[in-house]
Amino acid sequence: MSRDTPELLKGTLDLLILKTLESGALHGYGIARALEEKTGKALQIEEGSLYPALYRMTNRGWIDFEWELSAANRKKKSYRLTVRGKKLLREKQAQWKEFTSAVSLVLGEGTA
Amino acid sequence: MPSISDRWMRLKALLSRRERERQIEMELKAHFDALVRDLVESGMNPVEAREEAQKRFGDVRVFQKELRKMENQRISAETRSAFFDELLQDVRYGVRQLLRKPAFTAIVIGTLAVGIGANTAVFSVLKGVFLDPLPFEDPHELTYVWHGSTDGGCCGPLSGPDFTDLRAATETFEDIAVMSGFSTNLNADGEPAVVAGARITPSMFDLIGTAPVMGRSFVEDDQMPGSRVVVLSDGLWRNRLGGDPSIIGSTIRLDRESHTVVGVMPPGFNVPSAWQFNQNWDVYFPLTTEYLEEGRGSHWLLAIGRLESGVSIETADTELKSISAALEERYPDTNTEKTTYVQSMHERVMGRVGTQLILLLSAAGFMLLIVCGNVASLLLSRATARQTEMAVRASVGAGRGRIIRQLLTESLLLSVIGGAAGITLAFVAMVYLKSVVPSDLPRLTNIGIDLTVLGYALGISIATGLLFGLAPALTASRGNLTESLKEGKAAPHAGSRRAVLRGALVATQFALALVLANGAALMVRSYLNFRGMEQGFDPENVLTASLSLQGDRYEDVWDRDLFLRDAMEQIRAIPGVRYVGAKSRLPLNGGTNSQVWNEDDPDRPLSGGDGPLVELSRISGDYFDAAGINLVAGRLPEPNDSIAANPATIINRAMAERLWPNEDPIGKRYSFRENPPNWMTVVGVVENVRQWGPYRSALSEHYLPYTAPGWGQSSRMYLIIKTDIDPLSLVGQIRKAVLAVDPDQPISDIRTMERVLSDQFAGQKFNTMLVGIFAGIALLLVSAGVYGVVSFFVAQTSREIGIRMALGAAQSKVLGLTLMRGLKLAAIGAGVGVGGIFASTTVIRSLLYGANPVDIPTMIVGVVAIVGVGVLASLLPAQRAARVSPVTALRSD
Repeated sequence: MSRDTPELLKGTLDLLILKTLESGALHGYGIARALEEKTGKALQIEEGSLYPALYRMTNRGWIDFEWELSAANRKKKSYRLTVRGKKLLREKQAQWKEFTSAVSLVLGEGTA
Repeated sequence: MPSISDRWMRLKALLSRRERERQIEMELKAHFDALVRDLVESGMNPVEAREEAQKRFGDVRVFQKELRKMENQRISAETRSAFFDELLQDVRYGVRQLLRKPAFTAIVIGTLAVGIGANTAVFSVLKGVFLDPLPFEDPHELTYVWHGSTDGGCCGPLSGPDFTDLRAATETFEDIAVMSGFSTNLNADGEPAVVAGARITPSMFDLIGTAPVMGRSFVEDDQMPGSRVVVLSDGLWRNRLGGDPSIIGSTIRLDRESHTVVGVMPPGFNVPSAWQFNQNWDVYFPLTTEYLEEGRGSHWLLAIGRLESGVSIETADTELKSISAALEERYPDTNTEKTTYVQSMHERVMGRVGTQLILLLSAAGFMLLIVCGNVASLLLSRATARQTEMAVRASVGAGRGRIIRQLLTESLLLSVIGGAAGITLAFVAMVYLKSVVPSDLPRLTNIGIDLTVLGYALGISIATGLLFGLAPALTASRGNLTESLKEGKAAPHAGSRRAVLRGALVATQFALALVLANGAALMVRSYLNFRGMEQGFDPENVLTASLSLQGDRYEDVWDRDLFLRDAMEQIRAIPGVRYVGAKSRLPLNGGTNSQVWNEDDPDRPLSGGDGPLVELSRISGDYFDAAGINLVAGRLPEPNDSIAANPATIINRAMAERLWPNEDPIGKRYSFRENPPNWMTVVGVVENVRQWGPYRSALSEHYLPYTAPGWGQSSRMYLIIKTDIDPLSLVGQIRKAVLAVDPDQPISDIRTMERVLSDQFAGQKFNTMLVGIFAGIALLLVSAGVYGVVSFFVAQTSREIGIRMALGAAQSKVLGLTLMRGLKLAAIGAGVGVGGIFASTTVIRSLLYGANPVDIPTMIVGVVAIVGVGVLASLLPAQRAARVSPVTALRSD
């Protein structure tokens, strides 16, 4: 699955981004690479679609950004979790667990 | 910690939309380029890498719009919250600071409440009476049309034929209508009552712009003689006729005749009389043609005109004057040297009052300025105490601007709370004000506290807060703040600058208070002068009441005369009544005048241009005894005076001196009709009475018996009744006595003569009282201000005083020095104040009814009072200074 991002995936994308930022601040490219790495290329999304999610979450106060000077003296925007974001991550993680357990039960597969 | 670049980038994004777009592009591009780089590194060639990156990245354009929108949202949310955050912080901090010193806060809020409240109350009067547009459609187009003379004399009512001709010929007026008011007796369920009637031409309602809310307006047919239709006012319909919705078509009895009700006007509607704007008409009659066609020389109709849109008053005035000139040629007998004047309705109704109200508002404004001075002074003294706090704030990074903003927020907090308290005070004051406001003040009912007045109160609260808060805020944030962090030492420069500032404030307050107090003193003197003037009659224990003798029964003057005599006889029989008389006009309440021809000099009428000539009054009974007017020569009237061949009349002293200077007027004859002359004989001379009010000197006046030939035998007469006991206790019996003669005849407008007299002064009394109150409050505030400044001075220099005393200075010397402090401020203030008085002379003249504003003795008393206040207020602190123990003072290092 790669092209379409249904509603379900949008919310999931937020969760993925938040989780990725848990270990530290990253710029947009870094987040894309980290996601690719973590999921072992199983999940492929349009890299550009990260940005609407990032901007949206910034406006909601879940993440914050900071402009930094890179080694090559370029300006780069890096994102980090806020306190609110951390809390939200924990909540969403718990929700995801519940959700997947329920689905698995219905589909008759054991929990991974 | 946010880096410099982060701050810079955010700031740029804040300021420019283009920059925001650029930053978004930058971010996306950086990602894209990094992707391409990585792909190239992993072995692709650049072109392939770009294609692949494009595939993976997705369509940028779709994102960018969305990203732009979200970025804009972020920025507006951020700026909003930053502003509110800081504001909330300031407010919270300010409230905490104010609560720390509750006494200080209470005093400040209290004085602000008084100042703002007074201004709000006066403004609401100004607005209700003067600023609000008249309650008619397009009121700026409404005018009064007056009859006057070509040499400038104005303004009298029109005659019927003149009105008809003017209306037909004019092109600058959309329409002109006329009105004449009178009293009429309503006979409805039970006691008869006097109501105010107005005869109007049918287009009057249309002209004013209001249609009846029930039924119809008058039409031309209603002007036929014998027409008996009426339109009622809402007030009469509701209060006296039960508010019955089916009243249209039914009849009511007025002056004992049936009239059909054809319409009812909406509530609050009134045709404004030029002479008493507050006169509310109860019932409207059509002005029938027989009235309109009365003599061209008979002037009695009040004309209201509506200008064509866009036409100026000057244009209309010029046109009517030229029409009048044509009339002058056509009718030389009546219209020679007569012309027409057009006056804006607004100016007529409110012209005189406007200036006075604005002056009252200025007096209140002065008081508010003094309040500001006090509060500023208090804040300055607090500023000294808070210097350490300010220094700490500066040291942790608060910029000067931020500190100023914080202090101003505190000031605004104080002033807005003070304003709210002031508005409450104003509500209370309004209740009192409305009861003492002179009843002839136009549009009384329109006075109230509405949104505009509240807006005004808020506006001056904010302005006041800024005014008194600015100086302390500026001085507190300046200066070497770190110096004040040192133990116990007040920053020397800031302290002395502040002291000078406070001194300047107090001196200014003195100046303002002097001008205000001087004004008040002059007004009080002027009022007492006028009040104490000899009136020429004795108002003690005298009752007045008016009678309106209308209808068929009283058409003939002899019938009216008979009624009067019978009624007076009945009243005289009441125990406690000493004299009864009747007169066509109450003293002091204006009159009728005419030219007079002296028999000795028949070719020269007694006239001067066309100004007030000789007052004509009709009398009956024992008028002069009842009114307590002294006889100077000759005799008082007798019952048969009117039927003599040359009726006997009484004249006043002014007339005697004017017509027959240095001669005995008794026996002389004069006429007040030219052709044929009706000679009257003078049989008595009485003392002068100011018929036109206490502010105009007495005119020549003659008193004719009621039935003597001539005109002016009005159907409205006033009973003047002198009693031995309190006149008001006899009202019931008097009323019964009149009803005994004619059960359909009510008496109305019952007032004691004392009341008639004091009503004349109501306006002046009101103005004087208000300004007096403001001046009193101002003086209190100023003394509080001086006390504060001098106390502060003593506290600050206690060390110095201790040293002086240790070195041998006597207590009295210290006392003197401190008193000098207060004295100096008062003297400077008085000096400036005197200048202010001279500057304001022309302005204040209109409040003084002719008294001279620059009155040296009053000014001297004022200056002495001000200086006295300064010395007295300094006394307490000075005593404290003298009691300073040198040891304690020196010890507190």
